[in-house]
Amino acid sequence: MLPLELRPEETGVPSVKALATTSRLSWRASGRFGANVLRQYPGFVLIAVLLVVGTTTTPNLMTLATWQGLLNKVAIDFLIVIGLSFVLISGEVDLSVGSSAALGSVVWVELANRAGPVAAFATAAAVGLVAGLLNGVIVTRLGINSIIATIATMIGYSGAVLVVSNGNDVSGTQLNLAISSQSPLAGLSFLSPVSLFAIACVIVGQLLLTWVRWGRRLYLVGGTKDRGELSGINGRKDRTIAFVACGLLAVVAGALVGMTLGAGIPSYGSATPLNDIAAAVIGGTSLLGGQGSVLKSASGVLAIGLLVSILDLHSVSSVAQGIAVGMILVAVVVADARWRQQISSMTTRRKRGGSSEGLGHVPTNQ
Amino acid sequence: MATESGESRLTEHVHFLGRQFGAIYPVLIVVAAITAIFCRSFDTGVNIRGIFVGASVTGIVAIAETVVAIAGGLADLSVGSLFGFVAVLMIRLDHDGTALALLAGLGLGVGVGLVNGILACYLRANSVIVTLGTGSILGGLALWYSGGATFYLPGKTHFQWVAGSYGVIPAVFLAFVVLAVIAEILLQTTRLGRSWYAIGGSLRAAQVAGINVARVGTLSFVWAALLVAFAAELFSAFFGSANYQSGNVYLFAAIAGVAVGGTSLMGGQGGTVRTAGGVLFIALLQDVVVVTGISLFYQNVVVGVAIVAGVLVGLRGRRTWTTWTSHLPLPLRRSLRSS
Repeated sequence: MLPLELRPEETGVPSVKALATTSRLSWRASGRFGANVLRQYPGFVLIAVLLVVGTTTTPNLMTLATWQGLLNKVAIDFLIVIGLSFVLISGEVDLSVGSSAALGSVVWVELANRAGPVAAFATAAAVGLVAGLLNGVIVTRLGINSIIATIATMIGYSGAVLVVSNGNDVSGTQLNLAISSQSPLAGLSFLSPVSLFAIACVIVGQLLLTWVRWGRRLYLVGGTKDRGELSGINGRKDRTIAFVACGLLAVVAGALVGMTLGAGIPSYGSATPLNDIAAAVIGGTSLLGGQGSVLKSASGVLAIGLLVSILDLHSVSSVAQGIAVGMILVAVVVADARWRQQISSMTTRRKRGGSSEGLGHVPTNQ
Repeated sequence: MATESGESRLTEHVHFLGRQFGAIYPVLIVVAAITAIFCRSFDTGVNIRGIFVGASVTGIVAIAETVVAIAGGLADLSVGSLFGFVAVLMIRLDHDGTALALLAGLGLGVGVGLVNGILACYLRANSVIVTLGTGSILGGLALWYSGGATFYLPGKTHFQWVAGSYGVIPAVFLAFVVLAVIAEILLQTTRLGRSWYAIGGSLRAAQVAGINVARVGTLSFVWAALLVAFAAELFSAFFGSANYQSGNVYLFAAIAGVAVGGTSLMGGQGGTVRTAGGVLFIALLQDVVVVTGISLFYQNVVVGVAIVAGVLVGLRGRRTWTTWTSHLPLPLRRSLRSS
C-alpha cells in the first residue's frame, strides 16, 4: 500500500513519483522482463520485430539505398516529433505543426532567391519562434484548451501560407541535401545532410530532456494535476518554451523540405500532426503527459517508416499502410490502458474497473 | 432560482436562455447586424443561403462531436474517415436501392461507433488516440473500397429535394437545426442525456450513482457516429459526388465549432444548440471575409483568430453574461439576478 499522496485517484493523474514507483511495482509483480520492455519501449520492440520479419521476408530491406531512403523520408518527421514530444510530455497537444511546416517551406522558398539562403533560413526560424510563442501564449496565458487553440492556429497558419505564397505554387532553388555524398562529415558520408541533421537534433532534444532542468521540469508539469505548481515550478513558462521549441522545429523541418524539394508544400495540412502524434504514441510517449521521451517518439517514427518501407518493397498499396498503422496504434493504446488498470488496482487495492481515467481524459489546463 | 416578484419571469427566462445557449448568439447577431449595415451584398437571399449551406454539414458533425465531448470522450478523430467512407458507400450502393444505401451507411456508422465505444469505454483506451487509430484503419478501408476514385450520383435524382430550399432556408440547414434541437432535448430531458453529462462531469461520481458508465459512454460514440453517417449521406445527396477524403475538412471545422459554441472539451457541460451557434459564427465570419472584399487568402487567418476569440467568449460565457447584466441599471439588474 502506497502512502496517500501517491494514489492515482487522488491526483487524477499518477504523479511522476507514483509512476516511477508503480512501474517498479508492476515489474516486481509481473516478474516479466519482456512485458516490461514492451510497455516502456513499444517503438523499439516494434522496430526489432519488423527487422526480424523484414530481413527474413524481404531481401532488399538491408541494402544501403533502402536505409538512406528511409532516413531521408523520416528526417522531417523526426524534427517535428522532437518538439511534439516536449509538448506532449508537458501535457499539451500541438496540432499546428503541419501548418507551421508548410509555412516554413513557403517562407524559405520565397526568400531564398531574393535574400539569400542565410537570411531566408533566419527568417524562417524567426517565424517558427513566433508561431510557437503564439501557441504557447494562447494556451498558457489565455487558458484555452491546447487542442482547440492549436486547431485555431493550424487554420490561421495555413492562411498565412496562402498570404505568403499569394496562393501560388512556389518553387525555388533546390539544394542537394538529401544526397549522401554531400554529407559534411567524411566518416558518416553514407548519411545525407538532412538525415544527419535530424539525427543530431534527436540526440540534442533527448539530452535537453534528460540533462537540462527545463526538460526534467516538463515531466513534473505534465505528469501532475497541479502542473508542478505545488513544487514551486512555473509550469506556464516551461510549457510555453515547449511550444516555442515545437514551433521552431516544425518550421525548420518545413524549410528543410523546401530546400530538398526546391518547392513549397502549402498543402502539408492537417494529416501531419495526427500522423506524428500517432508515431509518438506508438513509440511510448503518452498523450496524457508526463511520460515518454524524444528517443521513444523517434523510435515510433522510425518503426512506422520501416513498416511502410517493408510494405513498399512488397508493393503493397497505401491501403494496407493506413490499416496497419491504425491497428498498431489501437493495440498500443489498449495495452497501455490495461497496464494503467493493473497499476491502479495494485496501488489502490480496488477491483479492476475503478480507474478514474476510463474515458481518456487528457489533463489540460482550463 | 425563483425570484419573489412575478414580473421578472420574462427576464428570468432571458437570463436562463443566455446561460443555457451560450454567449455566442448575441455576438453572432451583432456581427451579422454590423456587416448587414456596412455591406449591401451581405443581406441578400443568395448570400444568407450560402452561409446556411456552409454551416449545415459541418454543423451536424459538430453536434456529434459535442455529444462525445460532453460525455468526456474529448473528441472523436475517426469522424473524417467515417464521413468519407459513408459518403462513397451511399453513392455506390444507390444503384441497388436508395433505402439499402441509406441503411448501409447508417449501419456502418453504428458499427464504427460501437467499435470506438468498446475500445474507449470497455477497454478504457484513451479515446483520442483510439479514434485516431480507428480513423486510420477506416481511411485505409475507404481507400480500398473506393479505389481512390470520385463517385457521382446520376444527374437527375430522387435526392433533388435535398438541394432545394424553403425560401431563404435550405433543406440541409433545416435538417441541421432540427437535429441540433433534437440532440439538445435528448441531452437535457432524457435519462441517457443526463447520464452523458454525469459521466463527463465526474466518472467516479457517475459510477457511484449507479450509472453503467461503460455502456453510456459507448452509446455516446454510437450516437456520434450515427450522426456523422447521416451528415455524410446528406453531403452525398446535396453535392452528388464524393470521394474517400470528402470528410477530412469537417473534422477540425466541427471541433472548432464545438469550442466556439462554448462546450468544454473537458466534458460535463455544454449543449448542441450552442454548438450550432458556434458553427454558424465561423460560417458567418468566412462569409464576412468574402463580402467585405478582404483578400480570400486572409480568410483562414481571420477564422483562426476568430476561433480563439470565440472560445474566449464562449468558455467564459457565463461570466460574460454576468458582466453584461452588471452594466444595466440597478433595478433591472436586481430583477435579472436569479439566485
